[in-house]
Amino acid sequence: MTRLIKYEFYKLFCKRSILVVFLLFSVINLFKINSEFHSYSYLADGNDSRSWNRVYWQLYEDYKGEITAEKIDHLLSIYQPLADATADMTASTAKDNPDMMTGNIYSDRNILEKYYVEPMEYFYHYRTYALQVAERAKENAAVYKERGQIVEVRKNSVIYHLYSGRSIKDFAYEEMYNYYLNYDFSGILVLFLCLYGVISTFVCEKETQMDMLLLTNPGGGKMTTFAKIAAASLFVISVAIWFSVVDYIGFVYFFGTAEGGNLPLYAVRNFSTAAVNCKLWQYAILSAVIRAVGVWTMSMVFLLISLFGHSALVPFVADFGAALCFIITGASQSCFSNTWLKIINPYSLLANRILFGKTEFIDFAGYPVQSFQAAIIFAITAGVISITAMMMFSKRNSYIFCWMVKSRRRTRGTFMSALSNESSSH
Amino acid sequence: MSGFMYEVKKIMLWQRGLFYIALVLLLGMVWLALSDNPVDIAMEQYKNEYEWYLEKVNGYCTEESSLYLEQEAERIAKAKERQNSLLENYYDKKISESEYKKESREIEKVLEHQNGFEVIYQQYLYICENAGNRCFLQTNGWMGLLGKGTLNFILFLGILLIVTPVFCSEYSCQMDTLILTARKGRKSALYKLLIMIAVVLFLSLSISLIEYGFYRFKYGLPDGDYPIQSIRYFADSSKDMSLLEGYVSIGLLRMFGGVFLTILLMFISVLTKKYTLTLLTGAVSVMIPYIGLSKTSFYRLPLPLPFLLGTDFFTGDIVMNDALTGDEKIIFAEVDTVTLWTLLFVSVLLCTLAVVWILRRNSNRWLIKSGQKKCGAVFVVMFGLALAVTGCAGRGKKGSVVYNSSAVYDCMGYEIIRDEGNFDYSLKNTSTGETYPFARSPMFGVFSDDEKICAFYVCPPYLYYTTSVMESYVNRVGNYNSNITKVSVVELNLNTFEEKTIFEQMTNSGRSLLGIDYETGDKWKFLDFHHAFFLNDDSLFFIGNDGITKVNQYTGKTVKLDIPANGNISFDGESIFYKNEQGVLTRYDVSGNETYTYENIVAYDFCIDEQSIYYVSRTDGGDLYSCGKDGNHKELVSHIPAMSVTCDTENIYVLSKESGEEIVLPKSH
Repeated sequence: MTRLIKYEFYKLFCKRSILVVFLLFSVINLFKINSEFHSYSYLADGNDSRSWNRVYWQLYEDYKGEITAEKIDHLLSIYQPLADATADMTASTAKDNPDMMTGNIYSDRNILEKYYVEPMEYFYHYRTYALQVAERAKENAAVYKERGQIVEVRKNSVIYHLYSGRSIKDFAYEEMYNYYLNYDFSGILVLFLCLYGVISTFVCEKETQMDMLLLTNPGGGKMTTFAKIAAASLFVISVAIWFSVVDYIGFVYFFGTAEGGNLPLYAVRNFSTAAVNCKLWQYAILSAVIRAVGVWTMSMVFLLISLFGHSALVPFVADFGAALCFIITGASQSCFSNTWLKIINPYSLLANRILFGKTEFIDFAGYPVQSFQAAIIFAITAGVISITAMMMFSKRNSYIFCWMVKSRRRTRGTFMSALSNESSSH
Repeated sequence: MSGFMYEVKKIMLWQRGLFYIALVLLLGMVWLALSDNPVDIAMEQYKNEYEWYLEKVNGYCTEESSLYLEQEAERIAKAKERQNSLLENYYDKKISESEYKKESREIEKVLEHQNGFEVIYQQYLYICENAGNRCFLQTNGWMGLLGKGTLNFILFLGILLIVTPVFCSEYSCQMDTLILTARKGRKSALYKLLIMIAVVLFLSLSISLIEYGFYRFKYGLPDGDYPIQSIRYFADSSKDMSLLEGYVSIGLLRMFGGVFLTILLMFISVLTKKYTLTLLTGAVSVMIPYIGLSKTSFYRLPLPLPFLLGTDFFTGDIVMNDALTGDEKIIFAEVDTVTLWTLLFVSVLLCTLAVVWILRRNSNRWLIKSGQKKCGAVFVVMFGLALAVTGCAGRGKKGSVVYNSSAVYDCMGYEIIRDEGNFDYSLKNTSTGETYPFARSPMFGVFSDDEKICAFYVCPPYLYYTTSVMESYVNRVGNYNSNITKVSVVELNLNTFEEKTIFEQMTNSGRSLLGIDYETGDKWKFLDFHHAFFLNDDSLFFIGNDGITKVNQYTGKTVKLDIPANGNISFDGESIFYKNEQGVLTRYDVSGNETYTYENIVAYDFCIDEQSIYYVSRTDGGDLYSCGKDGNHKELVSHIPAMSVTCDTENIYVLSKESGEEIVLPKSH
């Protein structure tokens, strides 16, 4: 079986065209990450001594690490006079002021406000906010207990445990992770590549009418179908993981740092109500795995659709249309509070901040299940159902069928000759 | 039958070309009908009133029309002021009924079209920014027709389905070699090309005409000769063209875009001889630039995508200020005419080269003299594409309950209180004194100041409240549509404290999906300004400053009701009670859409309960009366002149005019 899977993998995916598309998409992805950095980060303004980039990293040495009262006082002692001086917008707009770090008083205030004061304020206050949530969850649990709402009691208990220990102790650069976690483009590339890769899994033999021949083979039929599914799964998971790795390396390379990996996930503002307590580097790994699950599920659905096509045309367009529907509905519904819509759409696993960015639950048999857990279970179930359907709808091995027919004929022949022998002896 | 007809038959029947063409046109029409919303909802709602003014100022903004509008604004403001004082005088019996009626008729004449005036005045303000090239006209039709810069996915998928099998079907069964040995082999490819180009031109033209017909029928497309800058989407365009010219140009560009995509697909199918690679290249060549590149960049690339979109070749620069630094940032740089012609020229050249190569590739074997030449042609096309890509890039179910919007609620043993400091709503248990926040989610409003409760409505055992949540990827400068504001209606069961979201909408008209910006119209904008609401089994009624909007919970259809929202609004599950512009109590039946005026009830204020209407009579010196819902059985409740009245299940609360104190009157009184 392993050999069969290996052969199928080589046959289907070790092709020049796939390799070319694979490399091309990786390069496009890197270009896009570079453009994200230049479009969105204020630190992409060169390496001049008065650039924000240089000034930020010079100041960073003073403030990184544990947030202490001294650091806060020191930061405010620089920031507050600038904020006061620029409050009425009458300060000089000169861009070559030698007393200023960036040459301009407004620019100095802006860099400090955006990159130091606001994040540090958020980090510092996060513990209080989280405690507030934990307290409210505790009160809620008591209220619901009085009213006999067991699911709500359990839900609030989970929230209490999730938020009660939360705090951000260290200050670090989190901008790179912010953009990394909000980056969706590679997910689309992965989907395209997987669609291209898996579409010919069943179709290539039908186009050349080799599928009939395959059925006469001892390893053909269901066994080959299973090997094809296994090879396709291996391919799509590898592609998803590869692009996650390229994303991470790309972001680290273009932003020029991997600082901030040890911050908790909720240090990124969009994840202030994150569904899990883990560090950013751990979430990068978790995200890659979850994305691979999402891509796998979608690919299995693609494969199932392609099983019914005689050429690649209709399955490709149908799969492409289905992928567009998943993407458009997933992206447009991501901000709404209907958790079920997020759970049943595998796109949520691809852009998994939709699931991990908020603490949301569904009620399942009296137990609160977090949306990401439900989405993973749903995606794996959908994938397994697709595989089962493919196994059911794929043709049975004709070799066995021929052999059975032959052996039955032989038995019948033996019986007939025995009968004639018997009658002649009589 | 000629070879051409055989090809037509093969493509249209055997390869289901006709079926796909019909499907694209049908789905295109259905999608157009389902997805369309007027961009300016007020212009559509007060169409007649707006047209009344439009007739007077239609066209360029002249000094006369400007003067007329300014004078009209003043006249309306004065008439409103006069109307108020007239009513006061009449009810205070300072003027007679005949005098009142005479004057109010004149005032009504002035205010007859005031809703339309507000729309035209907004348009006037827009035109004043650059009166030289902007005109007064009905814009909804033109905005729908021209102002949607999004890709027509149905047409795109249709082209993929129709064009790909033309060559690929022959390659898949290796009939291509057989055709090459035939006498008319070369002509076969030419026929295919011609048929496909004709099909795509037909599809694009049909879709353009369908859109034209749809918008002409639904909103009207008048004054096509006015400058394109008259509609906001093209506000800063430097192109000197009329709306109709704009429509024709965009239509032609889209047709060329379709042809470009067709030739690209055929080129790839002849080059690769595979379905999958052809389809992938077709899909990727459109989708990846669409999602991955900025609009400024891909509108300068010789690819099918910019031509398929078409619209933004004629829009002007879009410049925004950076929220942090205040620097100007170009969101979209206008494509100047020279760039457009260059791009068109390069694209036509690439198409021609691709066509020549396709024909040479499909020449009869004996005609081909040198194999190197065809490689050269491929190289030229590929090199051209690569060069163009790099070189042309730019730079830059509820039970009924009586609702009074002015009443203070006491529901099921809970008192609703609002924190004056942070405006948070909470429920206070009147017996134990415990308080519970409305929003049951412990996270609500903790991490963000942009999560707040706007209004509430009680219908025991449920409490409904609306939340407004604003989310944004704050650090994403340049992505200005990443701000999301959503308004939700949440149902809270006061017995179990279970909550459920029953309605949710995003209110932004400018939205972004995977970096693609699009407009949805201002259909839900009113939700941002609502301050109270109530509901029945199938509709929600949001009270804003300028009236009540009815929303069907299931279909999402919105209707602005002609009800002034400046006093108390009551609802008993079937009818809305309100004071009309003259202060006369009026009832509007929500299911029958009928209005009934209680001619004899002129009220300063009123409230209702299940059986009665309590009102502070304006004509009887501020006395408090009660009457049945039908207006009969009028009874005096209190002689004390009152300013306002509210009630709950047991008492009536009256605010005394003289002492300014609240007086509690038991209902049995």
